[in-house]
Amino acid sequence: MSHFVRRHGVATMAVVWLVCCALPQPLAAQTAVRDSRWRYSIVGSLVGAALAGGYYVASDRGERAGQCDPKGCALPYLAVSGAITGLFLARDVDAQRRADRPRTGTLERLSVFSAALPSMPLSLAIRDSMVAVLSDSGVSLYAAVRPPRALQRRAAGLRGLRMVEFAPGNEALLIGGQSALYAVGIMAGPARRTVNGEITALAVSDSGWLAARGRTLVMESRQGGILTRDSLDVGASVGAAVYDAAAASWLVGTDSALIRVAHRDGALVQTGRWPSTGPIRAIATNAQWIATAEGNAGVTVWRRELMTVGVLSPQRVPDGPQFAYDLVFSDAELFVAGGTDGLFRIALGAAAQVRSVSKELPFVTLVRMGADGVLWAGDRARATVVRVETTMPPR
Amino acid sequence: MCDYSGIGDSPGEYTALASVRSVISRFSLMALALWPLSNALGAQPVTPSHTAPHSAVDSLVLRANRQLSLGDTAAALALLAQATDLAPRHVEALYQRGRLLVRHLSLGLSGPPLQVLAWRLLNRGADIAPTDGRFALELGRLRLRTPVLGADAERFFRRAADIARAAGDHATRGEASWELGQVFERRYRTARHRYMYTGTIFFDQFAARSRLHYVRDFLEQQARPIEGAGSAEGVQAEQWYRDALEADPLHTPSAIGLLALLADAHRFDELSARAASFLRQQPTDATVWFAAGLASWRLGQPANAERQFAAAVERLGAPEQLEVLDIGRLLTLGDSIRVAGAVAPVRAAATIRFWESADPLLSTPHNEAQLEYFARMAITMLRYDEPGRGLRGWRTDRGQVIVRYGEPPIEALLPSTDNLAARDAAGRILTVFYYPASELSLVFSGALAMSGAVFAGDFREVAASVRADVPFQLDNVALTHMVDSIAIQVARFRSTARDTHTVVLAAAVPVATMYRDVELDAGEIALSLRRGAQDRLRMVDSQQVAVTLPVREPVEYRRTLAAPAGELRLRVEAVDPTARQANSRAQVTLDIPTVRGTALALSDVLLARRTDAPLPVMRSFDDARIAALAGTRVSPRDTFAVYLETYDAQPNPDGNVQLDVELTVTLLEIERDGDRVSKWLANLADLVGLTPEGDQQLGMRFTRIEALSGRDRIPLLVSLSLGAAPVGRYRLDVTIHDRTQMATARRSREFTISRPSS
Repeated sequence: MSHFVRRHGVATMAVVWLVCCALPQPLAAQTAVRDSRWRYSIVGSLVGAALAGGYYVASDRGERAGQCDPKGCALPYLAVSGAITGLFLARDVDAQRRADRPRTGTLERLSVFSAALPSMPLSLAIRDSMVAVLSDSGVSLYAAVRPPRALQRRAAGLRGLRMVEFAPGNEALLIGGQSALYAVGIMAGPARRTVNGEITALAVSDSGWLAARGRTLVMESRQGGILTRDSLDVGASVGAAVYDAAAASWLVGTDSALIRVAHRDGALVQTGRWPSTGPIRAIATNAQWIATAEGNAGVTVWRRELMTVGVLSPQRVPDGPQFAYDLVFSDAELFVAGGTDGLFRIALGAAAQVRSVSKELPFVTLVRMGADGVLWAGDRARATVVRVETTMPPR
Repeated sequence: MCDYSGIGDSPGEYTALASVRSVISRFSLMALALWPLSNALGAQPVTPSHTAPHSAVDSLVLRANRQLSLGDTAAALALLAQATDLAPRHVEALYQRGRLLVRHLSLGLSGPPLQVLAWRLLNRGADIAPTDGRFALELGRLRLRTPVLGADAERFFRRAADIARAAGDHATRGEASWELGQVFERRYRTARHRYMYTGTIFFDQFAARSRLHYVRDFLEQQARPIEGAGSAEGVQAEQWYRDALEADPLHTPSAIGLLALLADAHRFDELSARAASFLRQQPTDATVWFAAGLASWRLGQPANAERQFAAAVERLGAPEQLEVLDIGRLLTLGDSIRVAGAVAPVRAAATIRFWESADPLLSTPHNEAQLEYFARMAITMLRYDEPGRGLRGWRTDRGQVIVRYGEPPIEALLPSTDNLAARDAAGRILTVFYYPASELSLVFSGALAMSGAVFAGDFREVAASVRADVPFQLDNVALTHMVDSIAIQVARFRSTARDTHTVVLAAAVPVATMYRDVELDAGEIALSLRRGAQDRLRMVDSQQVAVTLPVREPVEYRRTLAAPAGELRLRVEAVDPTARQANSRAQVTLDIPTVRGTALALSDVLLARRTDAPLPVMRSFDDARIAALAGTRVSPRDTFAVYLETYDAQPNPDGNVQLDVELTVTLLEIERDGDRVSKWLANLADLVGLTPEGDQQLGMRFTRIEALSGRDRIPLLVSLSLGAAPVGRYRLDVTIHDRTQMATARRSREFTISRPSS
């Protein structure tokens, strides 16, 4: 041993020093990943030892004279360097795992079926068996099957399009853009201007539509064969709108408030206003809840019964996505498109809680629910429209 | 490090060298052996022993801080040394001295004594005050500046963040988290875009330069991107930056780090919201404003982007402001020298003119070219700024390339080359910027795990030669691909006022092509005319034209202008903001001559259509009762009029002017349909003279004798028909000979005969 140390003093000390430096790090690191580090280190040292054994078997004693000895030299060097390599490998693997692990809830594996889009999706609408996806290149229509089947493209060549909805009656699409609100037939025909001006939000009901032109709401509805159009100034630029079927009224979101408007006595009137934490990007409703996606401010939910008795304080969803893009209800659960954070499944109750997060979609910014209960999403990173089936159990 | 090359040739030198090596080796061994031990001991909490408040030491620390604020680091260090000598366990003195030493250490082996001193001071402070995270933070920074041990810095920063979190020290937690964010961001930037070799061939930078498709072929066939490379580091960096901002919401470097990561991932919605919320609290940093502008521009909000970029430039220091606004980097080297050498007003005028000509459409309220330029500047700042070294991203090699040509569609980080001739790239990471559309590829080399990179080999010369041909490219701006050309005809006629000309302009807006493939029932075109001389173009006319789609015939636009002598620039634009490709423009620059009135002269030749019978004695263009052809296109078998004016013709003693007029029309090029083979055969036939290309299609000669009748010009109006002349490009030559003064003048006009559908 002393001979060994004399011959390889500097190298031995260097290795010992490296090991001494390296060892405290995994010990001080998170306990949850400690085991895998040790495991990789041991595997690494075994690989090193195996290499040394191979060297011993393959080399000739005469050739080795004066060179690195298999037992005294190659074995410790290779085993230790293998262990260190394994350790660093383990660090990388752990880092990757930490990056993939959701901050809260479980990691959910989804079964997804996607179809490529001409460019990244900007808006998504579903009606019966048809999915309309708006991108820079116009509207792409898909059959809502597994996997989605491309049907046709509409509204080609128009500039600055932002949102799409199926018009009541399933015969036309409504498309909002920087210059106007257009109506275009699903099957054929050119787009026709319906409302001039920059459209900032759009929603449809069974009998009409509501478009926001900045702070002005324009609503058109057809009841008993009579077409009526009305407008209302809500005092702030509207960025999101939805028809609330449970209350038979419209909800619109501004930078600072959620506003309810209804069509009463032939006029569009504001019937409620609740302050929001951040600018509202999307609104979703079900029978018990109203939820808003507020970008950096995350997700906010209102319980309907409290809203009716004048309670203004909403409930924030803790540990939701860093940036909430879009959201939709599926029965009692809320699905939130969280961009690169993934697709969040949130359970609402006494306290809103993130149940699971899935990361199959690298940059999910749109989410909608079909009438058949199938979830649809838009993925910006891959420029795809995705049919999401939650068939895999959470892990 | 000492350079021992060339030493040790003689035995004496060898012995001396061996002894030096031996001493170094032993010292290193002792240090190496003791380091983990001291490290382990250092990690043990030591019970603080309180020293009595020492007003003299406090005063020294205060004085040192004052000196530091005045910029005298040496004096501050001397005062702090006195303080730590007087009170070796004074926490603030230990921290300030250690911190100051760390700040002034450079990465390398040049200052081990200072490193050891800083290490001891900070370690002692950490022992005395284990709940003060600042010591662990500075120890981490010291590790970063120590070769080999840089990787260990992460551990100290984590410790600092933990201590500060437990102690509620938000500032230190913010700093420690930011440092951790930086650690992971560096790893992210050196890992993302990583490619791995799939074949046995290493990337060869020399071949990349000499072979046209080498980079494309190599990236397609010999390498492939490593999926998800750097993503874990990116996520961790983001988390640490967010943690830093949670601790200290006004921590600008963390905000910039986070915005840079968001910009890299094209998460512009988040970038915009983050930047906006940060700027509401801290609107002082130029980089954050640039980032906000970048997000707005990429999200299609040019008005916001313009406002934010303006605010960003305003917040830069004066020298940087000039640098950012300087167009030199977007010009060829020669032009940039000329602009730099010009006096300030000329430079300013050149800048205005440059941006005006770069703007795809003046009709849009924003200059898309300039916004894209600022967006690229923002990208370089977010990616390559190194505030610690005072380095701005736009000054780096990669930054300059991004500013000129945009973000590379393909960026590849490749392992080092095996070519021994490429000495500068050996052992370094190669970064390839590849622009497929232009087949431009540039190679950079940078040290492992470091964010900097410079041109590899002679790629600096490659970049210079590319710059000479294409100094600025905007092919990533969608609008530049969607601007059609407007056919335009411009003719100059002398005006009755001295030194002034009347300029007749007629343009044909190609609405059929503008609305091609647009599914819209009606369009509304905003037509505008701008004029200017050396300075900025100013709008002189604008109209809204409604069109019902589909449409086949062009929209015609005519205008007559008065122009003084000198340069005249005219720009016609037609834009429908609802349709993506409904943009067209035409720009002409005319030289309006000074009227001398001595020799025979001709006006421009104007092709026109008769609208009415001309007056018996024509005195000007108006009397001809014609409408200028919009553009210079006529249909086959069309009859068209040719109008021009003769000036300064001399009357003979009878008071009449005698002019010999000759008109010839030459077919310059036949426009052919059909496949490539038939076109090639037809071109071959042109070459051997079997086709009428190059032939005179029309020749007309006549003499005009006309009384001057007090006029200063003799207008000439002739109708032409070319019958069954083939479609193609023609030239009309008009020659006028004044018999009295025996002078001749010539003018030409090119025009095309084409089918209406084309």
